[in-house]
This record gives sequence, C-alpha cells and structure tokens, in this order.
Amino acid sequence: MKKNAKALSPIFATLIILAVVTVLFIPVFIWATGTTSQTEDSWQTSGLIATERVVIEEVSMKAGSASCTIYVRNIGKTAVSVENVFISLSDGTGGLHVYSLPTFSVSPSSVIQGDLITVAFTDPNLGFVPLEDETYTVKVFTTRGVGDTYQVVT
Amino acid sequence: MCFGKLRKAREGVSTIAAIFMLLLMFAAMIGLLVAFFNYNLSAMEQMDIEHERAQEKIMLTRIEVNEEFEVSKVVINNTGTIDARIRALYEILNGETTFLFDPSDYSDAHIAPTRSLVIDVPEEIPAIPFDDQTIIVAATERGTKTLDYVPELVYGVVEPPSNYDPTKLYVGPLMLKFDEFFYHKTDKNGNLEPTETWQPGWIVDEKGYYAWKITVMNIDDRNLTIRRFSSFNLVPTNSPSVLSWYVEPTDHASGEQFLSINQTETITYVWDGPLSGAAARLTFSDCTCMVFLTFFGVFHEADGTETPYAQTIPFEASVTVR
Repeated sequence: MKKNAKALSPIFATLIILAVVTVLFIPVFIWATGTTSQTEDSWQTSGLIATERVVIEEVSMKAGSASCTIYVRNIGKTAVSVENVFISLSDGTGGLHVYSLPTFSVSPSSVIQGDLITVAFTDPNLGFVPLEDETYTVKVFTTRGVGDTYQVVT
Repeated sequence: MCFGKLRKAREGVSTIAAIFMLLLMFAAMIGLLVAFFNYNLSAMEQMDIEHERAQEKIMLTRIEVNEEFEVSKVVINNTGTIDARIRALYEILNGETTFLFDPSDYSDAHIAPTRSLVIDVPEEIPAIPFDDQTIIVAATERGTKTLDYVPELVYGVVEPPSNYDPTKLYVGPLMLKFDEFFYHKTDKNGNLEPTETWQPGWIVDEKGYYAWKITVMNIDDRNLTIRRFSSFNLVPTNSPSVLSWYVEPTDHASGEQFLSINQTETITYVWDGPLSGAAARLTFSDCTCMVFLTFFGVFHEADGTETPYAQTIPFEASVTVR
C-alpha cells in the first residue's frame, strides 16, 4: 500500500481535486445562474411593461343598452393584447363589473404601436344596463397588467 | 497517504475554485447589467413617448358638407410642436360613438406643426349625414384627440371637384380623351360618305370635306349643355389662318347637346358655321395643324338655374395634312 500510495503523483492528486471541485461547483453554479436569470427575467419583464402603454380613445356606452364598444390604441413599443375590462360607476356605488375574455370580443387580438383595438360587448354581455346621466369609469388592462382609464357619461 | 497528498495540493484547490467563482461572478454581473440597461433603455423610450405625446395637439377646424348634407371633408390643424399622424375619425351622436375610418389607410395623414390636413371622406365609407348634434373627433397615432372646439361648417363644394387632376392638361368641366379622335369624309352637305369609315384623326391624306369626332367626359358636378357655337379649330403651324368646324348637336332642333355628370360622350363637328347646313372643307395641304376645341353653353345648377359656361381645350396632338 505504501508503495502504491507513493505512486500517486501530485498531478493525479490535482486532477482528483479538480473533479471534486467541479462536482461540488455544479449545484452552486445552477443555483447562482438560476437566481441571476430570474433577476434578468424580472428586469426584462419590467422593461416590456415600461414600454407597454395603451390609451382608451373612445367609449361608446349608451343608457338603456347593455352593449358597449371600447376603442383602445397601443401607443407603446410593445405589442399588446387586451385581457380584462373593469367598469364601475364613477361615484363608487353599484359595484365593480369585471370582465375577461371571452365575455367581450377583441379585434384584432394583438396590435403593434399606433394601431387600434376594438373591444366590443354585445348585448347582454355587459351584464347591466347603463343608467341615464351617470358617469362610468372604464378600465382596460393588457395581458401584462398595463391599462388605462376612461370616464364616460351615458 | 492519499489525504496527505491532497493536503499538499490545497493551494491548487483554492486557485481553481477562485477561477470558477470569478467566472460565475462575471457571468452573473454581465447578465444583470445587460438586463438592467435594457430596462433603463425601455424606461427612457417610454419617457420619450410621453414627452412626444405632451407636445402633440390637434384641432378640428372645419367640416365641409355636400349638397346632400353629408360630411365630405374634415380639416384638422396641428397646433402642437411635433408631427402628428391622424389614425382615426369618430362620430359621436346621441351618446353613441362610431369609428368612421382611419385616414392613414387612404392617404398620407401626417401633419407638420402649424399645418393643416384636409381629409376627404372616402367614397367606400358609408355616408355621414351631418347633424348639428354630431361631434366629429379625430385621434392621432399617439392617442391624442382633437380639442373640444366647434369647427366651422362649410356648405357645398368650395374647391374644384376632386375629379380634376392637376397633372392633366385640362382646365374646366370637360375632360378630353386624347386617344379617341377620328375623322370621316363627308359630302358638301355634311352627310357622312357611306363608303368611308371613321379614321384616326391625326393624319389626313387630302383636302376635302370632313367631319371630326372627339370624346369628352363631364367631370364637373353639374350637368351641362353645349350649344351650336362650339367648334373644332385647326390652326396650321406655318400660317396664321384658322379653319373651324361647328358642332353637330345631338338635338338638332335646339342646336344643343346635353352632357351629364361623369358621362363620356362623343361630339361631332361638321358645319362651316353654327348649324349652317354646309360642311366645312379642309383646304390646307402639306402642313401640320394644332387643334383647339372651344365649347360654349350652360351649366345646369342644382336649383334649376343656368350658369354660362365656356371652355377651350388646346389639343395635345396635331393634325398633319398630307
């Protein structure tokens, strides 16, 4: 054994050490890259959200009619899709009406900067009949949660 | 024994581990920095969008309606300090908003600062009946809408009809079809020679009695009637003399020819004087002639009245007499 042990050269020892360190390093590497990539993803998403911007141009909502059309323009750099619409009375009474696809139709489904999305609720998908001379707050949100608010008087 | 060797080589461990750690740190740092700068860039882009949007201001200054009281044109002023592009026209009536059309689909809808844009309502768009309760709203690509302002209302057409194409050589309601120009031999009483046919009018072989036929389209927005004094005139390039052929009207009794809006009609010239009964004779030879068409008549106005009308068309082509 002694003779055999002496046969272990420093080079061989270094190779073993290298292998051991590499094996030990793999989980550390995976953990570290995972953490950084999560942070990177978070920054990227934040970047997308930062350049995502929509405005509600017009809302067609008439007293006595349970239909509604919302014209939304994408003015940001990111392509957007509309996913949710909230409608409530501006004075806070009457509750919040929350809608998501496919309660309403969206045409086209996704638009680039400068283009218009038409969000349409056909009667009776609005779920309530707007009252006369009331102010409603309409909020539209994209898939990344970016939105805009518009007030319309029926 | 083995562990003794390992201990001896511990300096190697620290070096390798240090290199790995450095690589990891560099990779992580670069990744994070790139992501952060991307985010920063995005945030700045968005700030630019908001900044541009703040500079944008448009105003609807004029609405023009036609005789049917339908909106025919909309004039928008850019009162901001940045180029704007009109992307939508809306009509709001009785609380109902309707998207009319996107002007940028039909023409260049950019407006420079302090300039105006005249938007013609395209024919394929359903007519927009004007109502004093109607609000027309324009919106730009950046989502800016026209200010709440009562525009000037202009009734009727105040500019030349849109059928007028400034790139073509005509001024007036009759547009000549240059490639439909013919002659026909006649006898001295103006009767078309039965053995002859209509020939392209640019080259005439010999002297004699001829009838000329041209094709015109009434591109005005009013019907019109031309009268017997309307003529076809040849002017030789080598002589100051003029030869005239007077119109052979479709209504011979009244000496008039009715030309309705947007209709293409042929006009025939035969006579040496207004309905004289004698055919005009081509007396030039071996020359090239310029052609002038003169029209006299009346416009039929929408209210039933008549307005005098006259027009001269200098023919682009010339007649060569051999």
